[in-house]
Amino acid sequence: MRVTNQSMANSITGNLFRNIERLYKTQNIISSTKRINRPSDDPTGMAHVLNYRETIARIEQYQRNIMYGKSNLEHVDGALDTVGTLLTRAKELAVYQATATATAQTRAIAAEEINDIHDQIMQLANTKVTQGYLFAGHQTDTPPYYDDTRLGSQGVDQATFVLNRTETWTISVGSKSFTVDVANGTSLTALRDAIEAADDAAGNLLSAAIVDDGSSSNPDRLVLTANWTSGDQTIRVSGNTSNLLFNTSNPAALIDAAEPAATWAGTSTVSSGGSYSGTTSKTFEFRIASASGTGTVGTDSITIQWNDGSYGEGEITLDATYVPGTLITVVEGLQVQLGAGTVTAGDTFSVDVWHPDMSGEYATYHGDEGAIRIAAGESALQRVNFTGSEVFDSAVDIFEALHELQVALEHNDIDGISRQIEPLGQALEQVATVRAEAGARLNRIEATETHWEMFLLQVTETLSNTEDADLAKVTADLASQEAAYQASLAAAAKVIQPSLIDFLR
Amino acid sequence: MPDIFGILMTGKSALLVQQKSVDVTGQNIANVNTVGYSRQRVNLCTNEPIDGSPGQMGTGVRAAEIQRIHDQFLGIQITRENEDLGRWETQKNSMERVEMVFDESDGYGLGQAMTDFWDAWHDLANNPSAQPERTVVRERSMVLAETFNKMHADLQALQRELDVNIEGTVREINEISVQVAELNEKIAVAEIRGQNANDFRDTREQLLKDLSGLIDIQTFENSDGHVTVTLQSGKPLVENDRMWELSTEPNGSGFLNIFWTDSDGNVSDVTSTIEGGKLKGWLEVRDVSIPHYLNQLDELAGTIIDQVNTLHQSGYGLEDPVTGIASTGYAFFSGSSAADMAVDTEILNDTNKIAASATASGVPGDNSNAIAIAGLQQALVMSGNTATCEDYYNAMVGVVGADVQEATLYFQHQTNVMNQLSNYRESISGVSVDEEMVNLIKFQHAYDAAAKLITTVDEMLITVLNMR
Repeated sequence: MRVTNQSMANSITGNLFRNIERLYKTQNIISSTKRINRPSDDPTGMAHVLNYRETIARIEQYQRNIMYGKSNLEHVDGALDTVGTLLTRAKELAVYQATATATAQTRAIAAEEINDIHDQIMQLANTKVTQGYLFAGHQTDTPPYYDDTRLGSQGVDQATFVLNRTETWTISVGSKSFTVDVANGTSLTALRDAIEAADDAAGNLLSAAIVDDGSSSNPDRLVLTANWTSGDQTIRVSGNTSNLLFNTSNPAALIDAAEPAATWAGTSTVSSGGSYSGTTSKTFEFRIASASGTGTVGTDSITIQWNDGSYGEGEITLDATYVPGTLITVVEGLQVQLGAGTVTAGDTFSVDVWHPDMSGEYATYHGDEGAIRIAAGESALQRVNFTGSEVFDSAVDIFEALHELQVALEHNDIDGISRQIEPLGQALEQVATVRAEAGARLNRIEATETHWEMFLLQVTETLSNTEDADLAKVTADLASQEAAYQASLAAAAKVIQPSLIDFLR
Repeated sequence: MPDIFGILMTGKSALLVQQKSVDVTGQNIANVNTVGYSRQRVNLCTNEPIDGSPGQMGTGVRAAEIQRIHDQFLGIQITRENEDLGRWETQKNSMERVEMVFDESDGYGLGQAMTDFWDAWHDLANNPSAQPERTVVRERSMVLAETFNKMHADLQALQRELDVNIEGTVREINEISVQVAELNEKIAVAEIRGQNANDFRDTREQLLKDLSGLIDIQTFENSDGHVTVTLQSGKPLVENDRMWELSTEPNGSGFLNIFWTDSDGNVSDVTSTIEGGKLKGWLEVRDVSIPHYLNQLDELAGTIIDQVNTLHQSGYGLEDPVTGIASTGYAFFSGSSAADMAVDTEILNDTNKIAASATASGVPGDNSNAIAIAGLQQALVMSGNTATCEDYYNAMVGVVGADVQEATLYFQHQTNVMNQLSNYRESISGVSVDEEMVNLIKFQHAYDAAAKLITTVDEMLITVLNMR
C-alpha cells in the first residue's frame, strides 16, 4: 500500500486523539468516582441509578415520617405515664378518705389535692407538641380540655355574674379575638354595650344580646353568638375570669327558691333544695291537693300534687310522722320542704329549675375523633395519635370522676367518696390500655423503621455498585491507557520526522 | 537516417520533457497538504520514429499528457459515506446538547425536583398546620414547575438553534451548487480544447464531497465532463452550468422547511425527502427527537398537574383568619403542560390554601389529603397506569441516553469508514514527498543526461566543422 505523508499525518493525529479521549474519559471517571456521568454513558444504568436515588430519598422520607410518628407516640406515652401516677394518687386518696379514720379536715385538704390532680391531668391532656395539641384529634389548634373559662355560643347569667375588680378580658371567636375593658360593678347591659363596641372595632365578629332564659328570679342572660355559621365558631372569654362566675360553682343554685303564689293562705313556709340533675330548664308547679283537719304540717295528712309540664305528674303525701322543715325529694334531685304552720287545700307554689347550657366545671373534651396517620411506607399508614375522648373519656370520664370525688370530699360525703373508688380504678385501667396500645403502635413503627434501615443499606449498596467506578480497575485502565498514549506519541515522533530529504547529500 | 541535427532535436525534446516532469513534481510537492489534491504525473512517450537504415530511428521523447492519478468510483463512495458521516456528526452533537437538558448526574435535575416535591408533602403531612412546612411545599412546587418550564424552554431553544443551523446550511448548499456549476463549465471548456482539467476536477470533487456532508445527493458525470447533481428525490441542484436554489420557509410549527425552486420559480417542499448530510441530522433532532421528548415532558407535567389538582381540590386548607372558613376547591397547579405549569396564584399568595385536610371538620390537624398527595409518588398514573411519574421520567432519561449512545456509535462507525476511505484515496491520489524526491532526482538525472547529449553533439559538430 502507498503510504503518503497525509495518510501518515491523519493516522497519527487520529490515533493520538483516540488515545487521549480514552484517557480523558478514564480521568473523568476517576475524578468523579462515578462510572456513569451522563445518561449516554450507560442508558439503562442511568435509569436504574435514578430509580435507586429516588428509592433512597423515599426511604429517608419514610424514616423522617417514622421519626415524627415515634416522637408523637412517645409524647403520648410520657403524658400517660404521669396521668397514671396522678390517678393512682387520686385513688389512694379516695380509698383513705373513705375510711372512718379520715376527718372533715383531711378530706378538705384531700379535696384541694384532687383539684390539683384534676388540673395537672388537664394540663397533660392539653400537651402541646410541634404539631399542636396531642390529644385533640384533628383540632390541633384547640386545647382539647378546658372548663368554664371558655364558652360556646352560650350565655352568662347576670345573677351569678359578679365583677369585683376592673380588668381586661380577651374575647375570641374562632381564631380572631379582641379585648374589652370591664369596670368594677358593670351592669349586664353596660357589659353588653362594651363588648359590642369593642367587637365593632375588631370587625364585628359576634353579636351580644341580653335574653330572657325563662327563669323568674334571674331571667336576663348575656348571650354571645358568632357572626358566621361555618368554620370555627368557638367563643372564648379569657383574662382573669376568677370573677366570672357561671352559676355552676354551686349546683344547688340551679334550683331557685320556692315561690308561693300570691294567694298562699297557709302560714307554713315552703322552700326548695337539692341538686338539679335534669337537662332542661323548667318550672315545677306544686298544689296542695288536700289537707285533713286544720292542715297543720307534721300533724295532719297533706297531699301535694306536682307537675313540671312535661315530666308528668306525681304527688307527695305528708302525714303525722313528717317533721316540719325536712327536705323531701320530688324528682331529678329537686327537694322541697314545708315549715311548721298550716296549709290550705288549693294553694300553689312553684320552683324554677334550670340547666345551664354551658359545660360543667370539670374539663370537657373539645377536640374531635380525627385520626392522625403517618406514611411509614408505601400504603403503610400508621395511626400515631389518641384522641382525648379515647384516653380520658371512654369507659370512665376521668375529669368527671375527679370532680365528683372533689365535691364529695368537700362535702365530707363518705358514700360519695367511696363511689369514686371504682371509677378511678377503671380510669387507671383505661389509661393503661391506651398506653399499651401506644406501645404496640410504637413497636410496629419501629419494626418498619428497622426494615427501612436494612433496605436503605441494600439500595445504597446497589446504587454504589451500579454508579460508582471500580477505582482499582479504572486506575489500572488509566495506567495502561497512559502507556498506550505515550507509546503512540513516541511512535509518532519517530515516524513523522525523517524523510528522504534528510538522507540526500 | 536522421542527421546530426536530429540528435540535437532528440536532446532538446528530452530536456524539455524532463523539465516538464520536474515542473509537475514541483506542483505535487507544493500541494502535498492540499485537501482533495490528486497527484499528477507526466506520461511520456516516444516521438514518431523515422524510417532509416537499418531500421526505424527514434526521434526523442514527448509528454503525452499530464495525468491525474485518481479513482472515480472511490470518489463516489466517499461522497455517499460522507452523507452519513455528516448526518450522525450533527445528530450526535445535537443529541449531546439534549442530553445536557436531562442531566441528572449531579442530582439537580427534574428527578430530584420531583422527589423534593413529594417529600415536601410528606413533611406537611407530619405537621399539617405549620407555616414553614406549607412554605416549603410552595417553594418545592415552584421549583418543580420551573424545572419543567426550563427543560421545555431549553429544548425549544435548542430547536431554534438547529433551525438557524439549517438556514445557514441551505445557504452553504446554494453556494457550493454555484461553484460546482461554474466548475462544470470550466472543465467542459478546457476538455473540449483537449486539456486535462485536473485541478478543476480535484476542486469539483472536493466540493461534491463537502456538499454530500450537508445533504444527500446523487451525482453522475456525462461525456463532456459536466457533473449533474440531484437530490434524493431526483430534483436537480446542478445540471451543466445551471444550478437550482434551495430556500427555507417557516412551516406550521414555526420552524423552517426546505424548498426547491424549479426553473419557473415554483417551489416544492423537499424536507421529508432529505435522508443524509448534516441537514438530516438537524432535521431529525429538531422534528423527531425533541418533539417526542417535549410530548413526554408535557404528558408527565400534565399528569402531575391533573392528579395533584384533583386531590387538592377535594381537600381543605386552613381556616381563613377572617371568615373562619376552610378553603376548598382550589387548584394547586395552573397550566396543563411542561411549558405553562405553575403554582396557582391563589396558593402562591396564601399558603393557608394548601389543602392538607381531607374534610372541613378535620382542619387543621387532619393530614390525610397531604398523605394522599404524597402517595401519588407511588401511584401508577403514567403509561396507561403501569408506571409511576418517576419511572416514566427515568425511562425517558434512559431513552435520551440511548439515543445519544446510538448517534455516537453511528458517528464513530462512520468516522472509521471515512478514515479508511480517505486512507484508500490517499494511497492512490495522495502525494508522497519521498516518492516525489525520488522522481525529482530521477528527472534531474535525465535532464543532466539530456544536457550531456547536447554537449556531446555540440562537440561532434565542432569536430565535423574542424574537419579539413
